[in-house]
Amino acid sequence: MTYVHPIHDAPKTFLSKYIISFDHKVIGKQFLWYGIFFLGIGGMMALMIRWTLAYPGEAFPVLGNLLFPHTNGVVPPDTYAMLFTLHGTIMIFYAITPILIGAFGNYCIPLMIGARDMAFPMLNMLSFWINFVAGGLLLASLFTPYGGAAGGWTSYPTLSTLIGSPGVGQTLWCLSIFVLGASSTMGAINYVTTVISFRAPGMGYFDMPLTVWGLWLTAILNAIFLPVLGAGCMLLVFDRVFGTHFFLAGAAATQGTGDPVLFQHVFWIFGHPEVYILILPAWGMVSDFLSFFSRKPAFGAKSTALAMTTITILSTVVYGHHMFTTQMSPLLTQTFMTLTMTISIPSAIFFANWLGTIWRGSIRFDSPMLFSLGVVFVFGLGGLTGLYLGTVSTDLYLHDTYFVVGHFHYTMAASVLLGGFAATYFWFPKMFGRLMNETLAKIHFWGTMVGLNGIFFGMMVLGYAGMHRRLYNPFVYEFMQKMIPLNTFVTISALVMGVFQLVFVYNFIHSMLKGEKASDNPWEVGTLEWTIPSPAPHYNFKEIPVVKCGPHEFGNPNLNNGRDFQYQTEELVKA
Amino acid sequence: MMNFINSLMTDFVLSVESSYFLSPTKVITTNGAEIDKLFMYTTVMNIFYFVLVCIGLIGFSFLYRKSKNPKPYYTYGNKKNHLIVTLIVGLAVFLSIDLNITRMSNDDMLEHFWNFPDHKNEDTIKVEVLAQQWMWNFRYAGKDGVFNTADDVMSNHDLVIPVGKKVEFRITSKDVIHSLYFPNARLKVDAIPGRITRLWFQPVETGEFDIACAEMCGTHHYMMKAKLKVMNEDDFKAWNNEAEHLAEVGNDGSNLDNYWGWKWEAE
Amino acid sequence: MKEATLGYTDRDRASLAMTVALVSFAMLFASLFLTYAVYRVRSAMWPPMGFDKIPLTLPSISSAFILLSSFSFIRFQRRYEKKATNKTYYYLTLILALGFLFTQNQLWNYLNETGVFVESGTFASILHSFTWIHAGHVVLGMLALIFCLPALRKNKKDYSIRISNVGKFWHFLGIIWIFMYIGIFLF
Repeated sequence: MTYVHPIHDAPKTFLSKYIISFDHKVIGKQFLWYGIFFLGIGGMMALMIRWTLAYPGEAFPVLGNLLFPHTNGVVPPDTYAMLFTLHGTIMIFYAITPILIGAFGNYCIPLMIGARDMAFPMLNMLSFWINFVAGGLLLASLFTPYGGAAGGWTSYPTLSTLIGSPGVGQTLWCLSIFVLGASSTMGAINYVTTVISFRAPGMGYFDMPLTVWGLWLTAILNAIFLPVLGAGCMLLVFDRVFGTHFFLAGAAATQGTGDPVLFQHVFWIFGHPEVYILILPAWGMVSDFLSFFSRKPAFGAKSTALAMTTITILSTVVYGHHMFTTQMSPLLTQTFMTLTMTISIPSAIFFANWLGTIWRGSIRFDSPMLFSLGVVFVFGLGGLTGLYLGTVSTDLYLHDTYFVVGHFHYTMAASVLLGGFAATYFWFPKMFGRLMNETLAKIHFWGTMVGLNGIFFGMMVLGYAGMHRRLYNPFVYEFMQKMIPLNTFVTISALVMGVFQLVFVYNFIHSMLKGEKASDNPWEVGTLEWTIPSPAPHYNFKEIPVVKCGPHEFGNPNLNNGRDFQYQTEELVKA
Repeated sequence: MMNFINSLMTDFVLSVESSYFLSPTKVITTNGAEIDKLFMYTTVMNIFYFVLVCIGLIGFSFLYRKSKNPKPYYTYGNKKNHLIVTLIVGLAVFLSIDLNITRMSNDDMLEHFWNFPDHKNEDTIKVEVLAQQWMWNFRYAGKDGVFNTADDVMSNHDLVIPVGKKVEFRITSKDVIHSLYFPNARLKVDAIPGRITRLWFQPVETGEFDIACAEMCGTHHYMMKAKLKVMNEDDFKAWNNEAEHLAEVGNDGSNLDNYWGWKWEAE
Repeated sequence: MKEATLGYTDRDRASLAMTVALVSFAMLFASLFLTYAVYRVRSAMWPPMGFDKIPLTLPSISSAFILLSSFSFIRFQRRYEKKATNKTYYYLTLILALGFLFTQNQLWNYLNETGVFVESGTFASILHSFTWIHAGHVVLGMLALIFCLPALRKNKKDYSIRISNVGKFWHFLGIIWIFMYIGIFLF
């Protein structure tokens, strides 16, 4: 097979090199910075929320007096509602999505499939800048009269219509989600096309690293389901701005009646796949890392890929379990419950394959591996606790309690965050040409692990005890008085976790500037991105590689070239 | 700053000392315990599988670390016995947890939570609930037994019911979505404007309990609470007689705001 | 020059991307149709009490406009690909004109004159906002058509990929309109 896309000259000006860059690697880094920035904001909001729950009526330390001068540093109730709304929105749409999908998707897909760039570099660039506009809109909503959106990240009408939230904040929220949806859809179109048509010669779908599988399936889900949320947001904006009656009902619906529950359906048709949109890249990466650092082929890589595909398909038909308490018809309720339960089959196959991968391996505990093992642990907890919520009768009690909060943080926050950290530590050498400090990384891992389990397990215990969500001051209820100490414990765990993230930030910046120079292949891994120099040069591959074996060729006893792994460009050594 | 850290440390020690695994509130209904039972079953099975995962995760990490096991076992996991093990794991989880809890939950729903009492039966207490920002309104049919008439008993914040009788609630909302949440009955159902949702239970213990709103409904969501007062038969009768009398003489029949109720269908 | 590694040409890639994009757009409109179906099935009477059925005249004329424009697009594309550039100009103008007429011929004036305002309940909400959203996409399509204008210059580079993609989008909008015509106005 001969070669193909042309090698353009590297851009020279600052603007074309770092700002309006068409290079997928630069766009990936832009997304990374953008996501880390919002992760910081979202994390700060989480700390304020936690502080209020543990010490209601006490001033938020250090920042409180600056942010809330009218109340002497105490978070006021309306701001509290805004905080948890924006914490959810920012973490899901502006932190995790940019980091996992935007940054690593952009950075890794072309490198791992042996392409010079994405299929549509300009679309890619636009996708980032439109995302930027969406982030701007969201931040701008904070400075409008009445403040930002305060109806929860789900923004159920009728609370999110004019009767529940007057003011421009909620409208801007909807618009920013709509714009973000457009940006992510553009990204998704790009990813899907790139993976299908830009794979290096010889690379079949099952020769792709599982990371690419995860990102690809994510992109497919994004392209299909983000427009559904877009439609919901658009109708909500019409309700708010033009006075349509889609979601108005009750006393506010003066002229005929709409249906607020319809928004919930539309929202969760998107919302449940969204959970998998966030977790699939992390699954793919973890499946790869476990194999890379156990020096052993990924156990049942094909079945892992197929299990991911199965979950992707199943995720589209189970959304109703978010709405059991709205009293759908018993038939629908039972159907959704049964469908939800079937997800545990592919999930169990994942765990079997992950454990099979490290079984009889030769495990190196580098930081990406530690974080990957962490993902298996927290995702185990998160996945299993999902069973309570998929069951109708226990959901009647647990719905909208902290049990739900703990559960989805385990799956969406803890697993995805740990997966994101693993990816950062793993690809950092390729991105910046330097290694991150291993000792600090390990300190970061253990601190994060202890902190997040303290937080999220504590939350689940609180939820089981009956504490419900989104309370400014839970202790106005008698039955929650006894939960004050546990709430304090959760808050302190959150502070601990927050402090350990500073280690990461320090490590990241310090290593980027002064870290040890990385070799081309510091982890001794055979996928395509490690066949080129670190940091990856402009336009990646001098010659488009020809793929001859799978991505997980480790520990082949017939190898006799002094390495224990094979590059994907090498013919598989047989006995 | 030091002070702040010191106080945090003290708090931390205190919180760890008193952080026992909190148990939920007392069950006061005939069927609330079913939910606890199902929860316990799921927990036991979850612990079993999670311990298996942890044994694998930590055990393999320990056994096959590089210094101990320098030569990895070269396998793709595509051998027949590998596939069989994987499938068995998948099916074992599905059969032992999922199918069982689906069945148990369906039984619970059909036997208890969807099995609404006959509201035409004299013994069933009927209550209409109207949620609004940020208050619960309760309505009893009053002396004539018909809802939305001038003699209806109306009460804010306090829900009084007799012990041992089935109570059926029909719930709607005036403005935004709320959720009627009885922690002690292990039940909640959304209050949705434009729709009527239903809930029932049969209390078996007297006392005062909390009622909460579980769905985010605005700034003062956290203040939207009410009291559930379960009385013994005689106390309830006394309360009911007085309330019905007061409603008859005290209700302003011309105030349209009082007619937020609706008639129940005669099945 | 830019031939792809697995035998995918630029044209394949573009049409693949366009297919994914159209799936996205289709999901957007599918959600709207879902909304419509829910209200339609729920209500005892459609149109609801106090409203008349919308006469078919205006929507039918709109359908004619959009079908004609789709048809001219096919002709335009065929001519362009045959390099018969002499009349492409007329066809492109015709498409743009028909698209413009389509947006002008929407029901909004009629609805407002007959008292079916945006604020008058779900029936009116659906009529107004669905036509807005569709017309908005038609405007997008027209903007995309303007990007095809350079194709009119002679002996320039090949625009057939761009034209065929814009064409797909244009036909897609036509199909959506037909669905709306049948689903909302006819029944």
